[in-house]
Amino acid sequence: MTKILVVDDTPDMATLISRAVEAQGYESQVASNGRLALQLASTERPDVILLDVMMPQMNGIEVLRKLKEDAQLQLIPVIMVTALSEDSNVIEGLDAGAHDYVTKPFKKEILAARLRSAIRSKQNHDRLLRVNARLETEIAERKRMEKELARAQKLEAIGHLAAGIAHEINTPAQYVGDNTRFLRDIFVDVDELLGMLERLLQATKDGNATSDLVAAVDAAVHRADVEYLKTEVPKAIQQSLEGIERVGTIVRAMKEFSHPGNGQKQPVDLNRSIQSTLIISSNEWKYVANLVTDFAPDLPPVPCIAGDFNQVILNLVVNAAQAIAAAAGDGSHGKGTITVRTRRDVDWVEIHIEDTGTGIPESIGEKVFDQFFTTKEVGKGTGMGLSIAHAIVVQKHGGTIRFETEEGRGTTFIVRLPITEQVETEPTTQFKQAEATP
Amino acid sequence: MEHTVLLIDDDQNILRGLARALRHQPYWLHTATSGEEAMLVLKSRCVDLVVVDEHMPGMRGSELLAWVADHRPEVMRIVLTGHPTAETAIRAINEGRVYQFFTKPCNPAHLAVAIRKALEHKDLLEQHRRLLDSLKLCESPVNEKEHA
Ligand SMILES: Nc1ncnc2c1ncn2[C@@H]1O[C@H](COP(=O)(O)OP(=O)(O)O)[C@@H](O)[C@H]1O
Ligand SMILES: [Mg+2]
Repeated sequence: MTKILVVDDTPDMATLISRAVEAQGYESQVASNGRLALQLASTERPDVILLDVMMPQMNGIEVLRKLKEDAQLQLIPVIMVTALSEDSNVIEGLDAGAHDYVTKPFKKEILAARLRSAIRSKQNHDRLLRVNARLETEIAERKRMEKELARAQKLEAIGHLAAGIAHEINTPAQYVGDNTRFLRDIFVDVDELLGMLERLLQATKDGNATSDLVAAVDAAVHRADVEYLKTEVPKAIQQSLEGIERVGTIVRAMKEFSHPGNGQKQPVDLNRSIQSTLIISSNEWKYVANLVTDFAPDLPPVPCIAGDFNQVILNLVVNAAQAIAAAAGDGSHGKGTITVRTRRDVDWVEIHIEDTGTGIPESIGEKVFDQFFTTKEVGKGTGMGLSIAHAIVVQKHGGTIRFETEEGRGTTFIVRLPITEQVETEPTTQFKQAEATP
Repeated sequence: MEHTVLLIDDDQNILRGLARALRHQPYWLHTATSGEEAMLVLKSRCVDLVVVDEHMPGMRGSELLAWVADHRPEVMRIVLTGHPTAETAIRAINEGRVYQFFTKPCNPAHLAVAIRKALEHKDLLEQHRRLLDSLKLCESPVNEKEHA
């Protein structure tokens, strides 16, 4: 039942108002002074307060101000009750947050109408509050899901990379192993030969080197295939060192790519970050494309969340490789080219990732940035790559991402990042939502 | 009769390492750095066995194997891949009908054993075919059959 709190220091007036309220079917309670009114307001939570302005001790305006200061009570609509001559009170009351006012003596119909309006407004307000609370949880849930999606995409990409990285490590592991076994095996012959030579040396010193001994050394030299060893051993060692170097490069790049960071922006050497991402993703592109890098030597450190930035570059490079693979068909026309450039443009750094792939048809255009938009078969595309890249570049870094394309010739994605830290406009990731196509 | 083995991998260092590992084996070793190059070799000379990498620029290993299975079915086929996936294995076995599947890094001694066994198997198959042919010749001496 709707509760109305009547505040008036004159008992007759309080009774009169109470009756009028109850006649409308509301429940009424009376407070005879300001202090009591505040108490009842907080214990009873009335739906509307009818507040007399002229009261001794604490007057109506003071009560009103106290109500409005209290987060729990400020939403209860207050109707000021004033004498006709108290115009200035009316203005002061409305300024202090009163919902409405009635003048004494009042007509019952007017009081009833003003009460109805106040109650309606309170109900609307309450409804809005409830809806908003629901919306807020929904938004929080959505943001959480978007974060999850971004993480999932990263994990998926890394999972895919892991297989490629395994390949990049297994290959040198094979020939480093082969070469080391080779050195072990030939050392057996070399050791035998050295033994012979020692004996020959000793015999020569002692002055009794026999032709038999010389013949035996000769045979050992022959067995060990010394000429072959002289050319092969240095090569085997050199190639093993190359293999070890390759593994080292990949492992270093992996460390840099997965850069855990703290999710905060830090000055990042973008050239180096890009280089690492290109190394660990090499298995994704090297069979279909040659890579050209053109890094600006004067690039200043850019405030960046390194892990997120790497994810952007990875997504763009994988897309470039896939577009080239799609254009090349069976690869019989040779490899395509991926060109990665960095440039400084006054207060911005620009990264170009150019491919000689299929290009993006005009009919698709900006849709590529929509979440879940993909033209690739299941297993190859999830439609997450560019929407996440967009969110990371635009929302998290205050940058821009766009592309230039020509169907059948290729596409260039251009990422621009500000060199000086900007005030974040959006505190959290937001994805570009797919627009409903009519 | 001496056999010939062709190793195919896009990484030269792999080919050199294997050549060192297999240098004392009783067959000739040839190498190719792509599927396309391997096809040229296969067309121009007698090869008894191929060891093929899967991931190479241009023609993939499994494509080369499928081609060999169709055009040179008598050539034995072994896979040596650094990136084993179920898909590659299934394709190699179904389309390439490979004799054995190895993953890098593998011990070249095991590879050497597999190559020898495959070559023995191939010799037996050829012997079997020859015997069958001569049996047919005996049965129908009038109808001279030509055979390679
Ligand atoms: N470099 C590119 N060349 C041609 N098309 C591209 C390129 N990058 C993206 N696209 C198109 O945009 C779509 C969405 O890309 P993305 O969000 O990375 O998802 P996915 O790669 O999983 O499909 C792709 O399916 C493709 O049609
Ligand atoms: Mg993608």
